[in-house]
Amino acid sequence: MTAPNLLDLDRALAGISGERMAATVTTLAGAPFTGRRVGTAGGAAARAWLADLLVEAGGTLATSAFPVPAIPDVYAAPTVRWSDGRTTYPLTFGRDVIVHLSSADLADGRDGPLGVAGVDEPTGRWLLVPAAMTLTDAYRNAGGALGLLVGRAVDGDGWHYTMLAGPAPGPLPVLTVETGLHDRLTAATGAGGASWSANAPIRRVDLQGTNLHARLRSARAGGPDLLLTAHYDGVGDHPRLRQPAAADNASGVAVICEAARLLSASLPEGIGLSVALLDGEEAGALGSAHHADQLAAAADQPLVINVDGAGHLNQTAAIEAGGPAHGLLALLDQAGRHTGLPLAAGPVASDNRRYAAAGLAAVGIGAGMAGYHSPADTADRVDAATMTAICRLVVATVWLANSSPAKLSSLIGDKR
Amino acid sequence: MTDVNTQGGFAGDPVAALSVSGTGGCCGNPPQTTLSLPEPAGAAATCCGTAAEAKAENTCCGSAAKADAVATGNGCCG
Repeated sequence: MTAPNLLDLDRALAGISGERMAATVTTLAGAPFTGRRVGTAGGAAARAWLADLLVEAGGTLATSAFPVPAIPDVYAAPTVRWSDGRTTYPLTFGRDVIVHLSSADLADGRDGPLGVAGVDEPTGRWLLVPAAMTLTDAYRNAGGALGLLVGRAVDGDGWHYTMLAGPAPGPLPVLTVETGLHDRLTAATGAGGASWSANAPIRRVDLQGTNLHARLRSARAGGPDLLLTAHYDGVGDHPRLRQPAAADNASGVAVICEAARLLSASLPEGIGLSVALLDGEEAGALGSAHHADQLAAAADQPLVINVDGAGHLNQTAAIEAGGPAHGLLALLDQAGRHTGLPLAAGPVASDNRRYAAAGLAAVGIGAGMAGYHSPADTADRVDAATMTAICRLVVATVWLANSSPAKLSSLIGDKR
Repeated sequence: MTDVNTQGGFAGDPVAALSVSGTGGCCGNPPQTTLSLPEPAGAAATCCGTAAEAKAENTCCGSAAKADAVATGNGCCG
């Protein structure tokens, strides 16, 4: 164990380019990659582009595929309209209405009067599910119904968010409706004469995910070995609805690739370093689960640093740790002090949990983001300064791993 | 050494990151694969709100809490 040369670290930190990371985000969020949903052509194209990036960084590349079953796929933009008995209102996919994860497939539209679940006779009606009623209870009140309409708030940009991981499909078409509209529909139903027309084109597809791995440095015997991870998949575009997945998680990928590029060229000998760009996080962190199993089988025990969401820092970066991570947390704390980035314990529900569950020391790092899982997650809303701050934290943490955490405070000269 | 900034790092004990609230939420993870830690019934998680909120919305996380958490940069639900 040697003392880290902090002048060399500072030189490395000075080489971090927010501009280069922003360019990476712009590319990954571009239309050719179609939101990078697992198992899609866009996801494969993004992976190929990233593979080249890792090779350019000096990595020895490998890939590993894994099954991803029953991914929901909205295969057409639903056509939805409603009438209060006098006027017909067309509704906008993504803003007014989306297909609920629990929905059964309904390719062709169904027209019928509106009713309220638990109040009106269900047969032949689209049923509004009251806010206090669960979907399970709604099904009990929906015999013969055309489908269900569930209210849900949209985000600050007026978009519904997309999830890939969730409940299995139920027996009826289910649409998610913006809560204000849901209230208006309920009022119109009470007044009488309101009707609803919609389809719910959603299917489940079995796909394959693929992780990218790159070894950049081998650890000396008994020396620290670090694994940097970020998921490159997104929730994917819907028909006629782009969802760029810029902050979540092109930003994290950009941070890890930039850190790898710098560390490959400057990291002191003896520190092991590898990168995993993971697929299938949005499908339930399946890529990291697959990789964690591989590490366990090989008895590899790297220290894992996962970045998910480096879009817009709001004072502090959130840190969630798992597994035997006390030493890693001490490194992170010292790196935060050295780079001036405040850290706070906070949930980072991401791939880091898979590695921690496998018994590895793992931390997740997250900063804020705009447009979570929606069309508003665009590259222009990813803050280059945030990515720079997170990248500085990651690079410093890896660099400081060459020291005993107990000695780092004096090494850095921090008086706190 | 060229920069030492005492504003950075954890303000409290870093070990708190090993037991953050909200780890029982399932943002990004379906219930069957959630790597959950037990949480007291009715406790509101930073990321996902309360179990009752989530249940009322037929989702695994309360959307209002999640939207707030994302907007304020709590780093959750990624």
